[in-house]
Amino acid sequence: MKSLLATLALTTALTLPGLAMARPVTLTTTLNNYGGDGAYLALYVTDASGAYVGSLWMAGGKSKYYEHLSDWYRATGGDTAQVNGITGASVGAGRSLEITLDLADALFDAGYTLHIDAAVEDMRDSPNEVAVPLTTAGAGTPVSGRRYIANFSYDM
Amino acid sequence: MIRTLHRWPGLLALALVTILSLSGAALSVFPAVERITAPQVETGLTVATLAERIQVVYPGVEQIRRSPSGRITAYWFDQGAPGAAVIDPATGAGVASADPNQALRWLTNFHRSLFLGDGGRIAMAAGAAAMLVLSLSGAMLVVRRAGGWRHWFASLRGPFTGRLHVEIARIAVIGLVLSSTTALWMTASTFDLLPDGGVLPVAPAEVSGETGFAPGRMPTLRRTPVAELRELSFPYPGDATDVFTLKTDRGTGYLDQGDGALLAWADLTGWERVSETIYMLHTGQGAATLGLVLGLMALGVPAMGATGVLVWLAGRPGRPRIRGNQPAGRAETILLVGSEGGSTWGFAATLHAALTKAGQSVHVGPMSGFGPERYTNARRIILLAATYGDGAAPASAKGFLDRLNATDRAPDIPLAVLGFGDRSFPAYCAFAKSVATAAEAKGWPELLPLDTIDRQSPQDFARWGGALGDALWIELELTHQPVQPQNDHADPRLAPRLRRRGAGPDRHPPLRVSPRLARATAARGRVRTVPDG
Repeated sequence: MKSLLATLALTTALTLPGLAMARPVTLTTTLNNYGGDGAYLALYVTDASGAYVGSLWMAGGKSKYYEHLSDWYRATGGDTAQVNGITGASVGAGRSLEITLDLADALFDAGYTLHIDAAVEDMRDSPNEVAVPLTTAGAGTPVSGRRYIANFSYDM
Repeated sequence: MIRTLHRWPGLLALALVTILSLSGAALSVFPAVERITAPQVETGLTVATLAERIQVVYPGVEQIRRSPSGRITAYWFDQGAPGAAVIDPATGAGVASADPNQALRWLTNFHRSLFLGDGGRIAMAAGAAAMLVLSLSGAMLVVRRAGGWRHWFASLRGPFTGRLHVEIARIAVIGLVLSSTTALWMTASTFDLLPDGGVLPVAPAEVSGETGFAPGRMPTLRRTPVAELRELSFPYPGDATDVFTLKTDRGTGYLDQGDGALLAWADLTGWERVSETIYMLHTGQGAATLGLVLGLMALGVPAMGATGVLVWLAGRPGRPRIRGNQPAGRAETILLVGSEGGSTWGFAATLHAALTKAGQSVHVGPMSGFGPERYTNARRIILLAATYGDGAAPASAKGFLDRLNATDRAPDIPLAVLGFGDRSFPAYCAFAKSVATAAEAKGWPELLPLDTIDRQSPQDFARWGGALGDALWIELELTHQPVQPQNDHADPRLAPRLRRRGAGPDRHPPLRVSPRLARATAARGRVRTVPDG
């Protein structure tokens, strides 16, 4: 996780709004028992106008499957440099993914939205499985996903 | 060399290729079942009509997918809950559950990774590579055995296990080469070693901003037959900037939800097409009959594994350790062996032991190692030469004839050639005969005329040993018992084995003396001296 900040600073705009101020944020994603193989998840942020800002995490190591994370793929053009160094294993049905990142303070209460795209082999792609506005008030409140994600929350 | 390439990958990867082939054969059934059970699409049905029908039944439809078998699945949201079903295209209504088949999922994961993630994938890819090596080396062995590609399906002779092995192999090899090469391609693709990633069209900069144009009226969907459909994704409800995404056999495009216009389109790349074809050839998804045929051929692998091991075990004891082998430069007698399965080495060992006992210094080596310049002390060269298949050189005699033919003149050391073969093959001892002919053409002095041993007959060998003893003026008794009879039907000549430990009055009973040898023996007389010491 230590290299994350540097990576994000290099590859995305996530730290630009307030370079100095950042805090650790824990993102917890728990999956349903949907009865399929491990899910690929892309966690990324869009701004108030819906434009892609940067990626936070990619669960799933085979880039040939990224096109099934269709909103993320369309926003980034499938650019794996967006998730360089912030890629982990896919998440099995019923399992949880917990990641802790240093996120810029300026991302909160400023109209940014965190999205999760999900995809499972031989099952339906589920872009925008979760879309949750980043607010300090919303921290710790679980949000349920549409198909594969039982709930998601961010804590700081 | 080729035999080694066939034997060791075969023995080492036996478990792996057996697992791969059995699970592959089981998997091959699924596409065929799906093909039979999937509701069929009427000819000429367009994506527009299909989407319209499904939308009537499931107003919250999000995505329509068509699998290569023709099965249509729809996914929808109904009051916040996701739903999915296999669709009858004639009505648009769901007819079966769209949940993934757990048995299929288990088998697929087992087949490609043994449930061991990337490490398992690499192990299984190694298994596929072993299968490919085995198939190619095996095909070359079959060609060599049959005497050319034209004789690929020629009738087989020889021991039963070996025959069964080749019988299965020459039919199954096509499927195994196809399955293993496509498997390697798919692994390479999974590990991102191939540039076959998908290319999506550039996201449209501008959409109409309207919503509600029925997909049934969109010109692109009205032109696209369902047979070409892969996937149609609907825009998010309430998001006017989203679009319809259409994926077909030809590529991917975006359609405007306000006016149905085609906003962008990207064709499949050449690499993608190749990879998709390879995926189809490997999985049988979209080619169910081919899949079943490949599955059936894969079932030959366990049978070939079993017969292959039996052939190996039968041939293994035929190559014993030679005790007290002399260096080529020091030996008086050079004994060179041309053997395929290994049985001729057993005869060489017997001869080596008998000659050594008679006070000779003997070097035993493969015929492929023929190097007359090294035989500085040699007074005779003896070749024990088997034949492979249709007259080809056996494995340990590779290159012998070429080297002999390349020399200006043959070595000045008298030569004896003994052929080993099976009279049920038309090319009986054909390689030994070619060697004898070539030696004669080069003016190689003859120690003994060419003789042959039929089906490892100990009597033939003992008789030839007598003739060799005559030529060397020594007492030579060759008592060789083949470790394992390599023929499936009883050979009457093998029944009364020579079991004469003590020297009998009749050392070499002429059970079957060729007229030529009888003449040769008569001409030389029966004078024999026993060297003292």
